[in-house]
Amino acid sequence: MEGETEIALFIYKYYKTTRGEFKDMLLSLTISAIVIGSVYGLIALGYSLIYSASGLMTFCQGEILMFGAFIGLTFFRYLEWPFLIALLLTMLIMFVLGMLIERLLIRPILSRHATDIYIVLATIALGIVITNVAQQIWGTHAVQFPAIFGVDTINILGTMVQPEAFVCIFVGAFAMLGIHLFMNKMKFGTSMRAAAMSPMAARSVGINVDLTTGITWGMSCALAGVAGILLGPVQGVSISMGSTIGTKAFAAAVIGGYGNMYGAIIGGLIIGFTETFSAAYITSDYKDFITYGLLALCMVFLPRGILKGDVYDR
Amino acid sequence: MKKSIRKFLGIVLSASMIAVLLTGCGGGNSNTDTAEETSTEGTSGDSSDTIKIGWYGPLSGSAASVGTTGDQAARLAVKQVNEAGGVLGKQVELIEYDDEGVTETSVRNVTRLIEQDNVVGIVGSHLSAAVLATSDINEEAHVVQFGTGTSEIWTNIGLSYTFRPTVCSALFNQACYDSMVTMGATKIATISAETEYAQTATATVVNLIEEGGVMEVVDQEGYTSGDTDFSGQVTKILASGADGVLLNGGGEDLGKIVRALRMQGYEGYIYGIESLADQQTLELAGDYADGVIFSCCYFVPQSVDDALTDAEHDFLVAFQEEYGELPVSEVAYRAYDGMNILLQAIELAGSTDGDDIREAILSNTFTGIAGEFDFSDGSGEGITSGTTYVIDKGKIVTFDSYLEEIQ
Repeated sequence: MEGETEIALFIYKYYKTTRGEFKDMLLSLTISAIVIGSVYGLIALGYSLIYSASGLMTFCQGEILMFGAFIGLTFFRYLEWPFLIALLLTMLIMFVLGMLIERLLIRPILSRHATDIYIVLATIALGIVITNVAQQIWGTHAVQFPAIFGVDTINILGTMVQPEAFVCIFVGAFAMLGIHLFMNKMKFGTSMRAAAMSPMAARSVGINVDLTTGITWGMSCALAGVAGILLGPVQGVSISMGSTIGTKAFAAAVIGGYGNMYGAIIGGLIIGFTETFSAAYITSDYKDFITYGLLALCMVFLPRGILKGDVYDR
Repeated sequence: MKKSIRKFLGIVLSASMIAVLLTGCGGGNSNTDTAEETSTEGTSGDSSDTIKIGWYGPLSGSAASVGTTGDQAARLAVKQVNEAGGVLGKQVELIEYDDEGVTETSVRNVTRLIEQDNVVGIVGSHLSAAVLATSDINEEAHVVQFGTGTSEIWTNIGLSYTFRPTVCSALFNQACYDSMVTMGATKIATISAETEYAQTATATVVNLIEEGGVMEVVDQEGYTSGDTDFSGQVTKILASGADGVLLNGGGEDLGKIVRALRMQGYEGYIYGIESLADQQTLELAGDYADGVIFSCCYFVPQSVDDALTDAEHDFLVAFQEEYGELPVSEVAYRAYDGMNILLQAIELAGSTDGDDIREAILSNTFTGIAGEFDFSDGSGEGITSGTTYVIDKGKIVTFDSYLEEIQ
């Protein structure tokens, strides 16, 4: 009996919060994991989009996200334009930036029949260039992105969640479905996949491979820009904001199945759940060790990811 | 024509990328490209006509913001001294290297400053791990270094040429513990970055709590600098029933953590030391910063008029005039004091010999923004003054005045 009381007291102490309420830690963690997992998934979609539509890998999605967040911040906070206009303009600018990246960096390298590793190296270099340019334009200070929806938090089953982070869930799901349908059901999307599988064969049947690849990069950058704007109010905007999140999103894309849209979101959720639950139930000191350990295990035992991403042998 | 433009743009883009790769990712030699040599009137003269002083610290990477503000302050001090006639009748030349916040790069930077640039003194990084790692080099070469980190790990360990131009964080840790006791906290949770500075500061306060016996540590959490999500740690802290949370880490991260704690429903006080006074913490935490209690030597006010002393006011006016804005962190104060003490010591020594400069530092007192410095005990420490502040209704007020208000 005494033992039972002690156990009950332990449970009481464990679940009691500062407000003196019982809170279901599991539920709270699940909601938090879904929210951050969707953010990773949204960025992972960009990685997968480029791969599925051009067979290329990029390593600068994190930096592009940061650049998009700063552009959105300039329109929304400094110029005080309405959010919708700021969002659409940012998407447009990021789309054009993506097209320019393809035109001025990727295409010249591909036209010299360089192997894919040079594209990877070029995108790493581009990431450094983007960071340095952002540092020159906006400085090194971290700044807060004002709340988009007028309220800082909303209560979801007792867990306080920022509406912007919550929106990431819907945007991620919408983008996942939209891109999947676009790539598989629409003629232009099919052209993109054909261009990724065999550029020469695609050209011979009249597909404008340069245009499809350019649009892919544009779409991917616009997606990263949206993620940047939605992340801004959650964690502030700074030149280093994209580095950690970009790496985790890449891990998400690999775990889910590189090039698979559903895999990107599933991978994002797996990373989100792994790091949130390992921080809460195991130790936050080894959160990254566990997360990236999962990536390493996945690469050994499931090299094509959970949903068997496409593998292009270019 | 179209082809040639495309080719030209391709060449320009490729060249810029190669340049960036060389500067950003390279090894020791890469720093040649990032080094900025600031010399005012002495640029046309022979290098022996100038007194060379080195600076190293993070100008890129996650600590870039704070590193840059320290660099700006060091430059300002050099500029002011040069405008006043220089040191020993010569102009001062500042040689700066970016260590990207990476200790290995700091070691290469200091080796280069001493062996190739032949500097007579160094003002070092605000990251204590870098100061500790480089101290072997400057000690062996008998070159004075003023490290601007606040961790206790590199003073009182027998170093002779390495000094601190600010207050050691150990003193703040004691004040931080005292503020927890005063506010009646009973259960403390901690969140610390993986850095040496944060780990040492947290361990010191945890020891004080355990020795004091008044409070208990109910949860200890960690995070990696640059992390974006803290929901796992915050949920666990809320479940632990903590009525006080101790934070240690970088300003940008702490701002996000304060925000996450408040948004997820934590209503108690948040304790810490000088990194909570960082402008970035306040910017990112916004309205959620109320109830943050921190102990520090000084902090950058929101406007020049809020400066607490004349020395601070004069520095802020000069800084704002030079760079168009206030420093983002009090690291600027540390670098400014460090550079001024070093240059004054060279003048007092009447020589650029490292041993003479060291003697001048030990046998004189110096006045800076932090107050009166006296390094005569040879420990490397020169000042022991600190104050505890509270953020209340969006404003930073002293702990004492806050206590009067709530009682």
